[in-house]
Amino acid sequence: MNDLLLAGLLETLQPLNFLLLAIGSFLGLLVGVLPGLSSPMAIAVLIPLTYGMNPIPALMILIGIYIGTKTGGAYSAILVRTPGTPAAAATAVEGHPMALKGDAGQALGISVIASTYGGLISWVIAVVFAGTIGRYAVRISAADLAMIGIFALTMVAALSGRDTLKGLMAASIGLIVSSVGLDELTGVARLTFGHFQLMGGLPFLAAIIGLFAVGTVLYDVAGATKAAGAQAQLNFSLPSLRLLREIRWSMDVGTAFGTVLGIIPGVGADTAGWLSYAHIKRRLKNRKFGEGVPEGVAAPEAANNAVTGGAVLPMLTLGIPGDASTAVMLGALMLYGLQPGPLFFTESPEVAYGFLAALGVANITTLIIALVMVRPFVAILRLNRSVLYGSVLVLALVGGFAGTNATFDMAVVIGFGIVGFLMEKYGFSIPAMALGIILGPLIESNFRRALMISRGDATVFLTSPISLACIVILGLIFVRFLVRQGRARRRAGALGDSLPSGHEQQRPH
Amino acid sequence: MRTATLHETTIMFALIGGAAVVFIETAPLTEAQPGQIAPALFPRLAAGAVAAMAMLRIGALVLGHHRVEDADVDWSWSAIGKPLLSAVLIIGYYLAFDHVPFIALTALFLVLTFWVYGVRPWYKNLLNAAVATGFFWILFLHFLRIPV
Repeated sequence: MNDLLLAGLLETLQPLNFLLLAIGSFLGLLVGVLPGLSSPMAIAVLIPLTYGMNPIPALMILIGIYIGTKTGGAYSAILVRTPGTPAAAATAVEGHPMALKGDAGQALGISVIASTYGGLISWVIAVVFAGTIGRYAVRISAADLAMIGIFALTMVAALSGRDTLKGLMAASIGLIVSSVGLDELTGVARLTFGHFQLMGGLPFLAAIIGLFAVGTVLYDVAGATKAAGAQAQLNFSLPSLRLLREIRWSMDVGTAFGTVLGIIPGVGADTAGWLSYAHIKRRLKNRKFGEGVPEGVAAPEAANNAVTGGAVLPMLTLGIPGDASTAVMLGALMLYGLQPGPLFFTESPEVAYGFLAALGVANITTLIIALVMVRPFVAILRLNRSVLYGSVLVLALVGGFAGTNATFDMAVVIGFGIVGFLMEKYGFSIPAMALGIILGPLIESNFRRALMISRGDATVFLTSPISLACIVILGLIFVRFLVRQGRARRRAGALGDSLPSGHEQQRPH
Repeated sequence: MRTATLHETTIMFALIGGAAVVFIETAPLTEAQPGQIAPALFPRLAAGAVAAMAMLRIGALVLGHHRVEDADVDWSWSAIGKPLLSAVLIIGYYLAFDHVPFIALTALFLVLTFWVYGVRPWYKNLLNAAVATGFFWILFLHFLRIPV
């Protein structure tokens, strides 16, 4: 493992690869700084631009973006109380009051250092455990893999929005979309409605671009698109050693939350940020939270970057993405002809360890660029987002076309863009649907393979321990959901008031 | 019936209709080869799940166990004007893509899109569109060699 990781590191430090990683980090920071643009959107839109590249250089850009967005979101959270990405939502609670007190520069310094700290620690954990999990993953049966996929999909569907039922519906629709085209086992055409362009299935990258980029832009332009507004006077400064010692515990808390929660599909960086913030708030009772407490910036920022190490673990070893960004990256890996999963570390070790090495180096490049370009990024907050949204649309449309040089793919981008807009409007989870599209083939093929191996005996899903564990956990979650619904209804009835039930769509991060 | 509830119910019925389409379309695929499961099973399972959940939601709406606030379904012009115009422009871009040179089409698309999104005055709009078009021309045609 050490030799392969070292080889991956050397590959990452090749001039071209390192440059691409740095470009990706810059783009990621840029996307993170600007409210309204998200990591999955940026990755989806830029994948077509990497078509002509070899997998490893292409992955450098995507990994750089992935890490950069997690760090960049703090800029606007601190300066204008509008998180650049949902992952930085908790940072705004303490970060913006710090800015109002004149400590914006210090808050930015804390956020950058904490982000790097969390990202690097979780990267080390990912490196240590990836090989071990990869070795055990090859023993996972088809039944286990099918149930793990269903478990991951259900978790994302349940956790990525306030309306669990709509999340599950979105995931199921994604599964239907994934079954369009020729059936891999029998060769018959399914749901093609007689169109030959659909024989190969719906181009899933075009669908992802449509959902995350076009759909989000269409929904966001209905709201504010002007520049974010005035920022406080900025005197950027790195935290002193004394301050670093004071916030060290908070960074550790955030890192722990982020790494563990990153492994669980559907529990993203924003949840990790909020949970770590809530924990330190409970523990540091003598501090006046809400008035600009440095620990309140350090913990969520460490958490949202620590998610990256946790999220890539299941993605690389099982082919199950931990969050929306890794879901889109999983799609990218498949487009490059790679198949993350139980055999990834044995069949493509140079790519697997190259990916891991790049993840670690990206934390460093992001730190350097974030420190060097503080003032330009702050100035970028004054940009009119209308220009960015229009540019994103062109990137999305031409990016969709670039896949197969066919305008049919562009039509798919537009179709799913309109679907994405309607989903945002009515509270359906876009990440759940996207994951359904990406995981559908894996779930179906393993589901059918399991039944073929067991000669049609469905109890194979109950006799395999991992599969059974997934079913039991899902069952417990379902029972808990019903109990909570029942209690909420009884409470509402007792109060003589009906339940408010709007939707608060969580932006993918 | 409140507007929001009507919207929600309509969506659920539309989803049930979509599930029915999946069942009808996969009707010829229900025969399984020996030792295999039918190709129709997986999409039908997913469609069945969608239909069942949609019916659950309709039941909850009818019984008053679930409420949708009116603010969630704002279809006034102020809420959907820009997205609607944007969608029209996007569709126009797609339809003209094979017939109009890339630079002219993209420049026109960006000018109109920026105008819809509120970029003013006109010379800022033109300047932004020109810069963006130039950037995309270099990126797609010269750097990535995409045959636009």
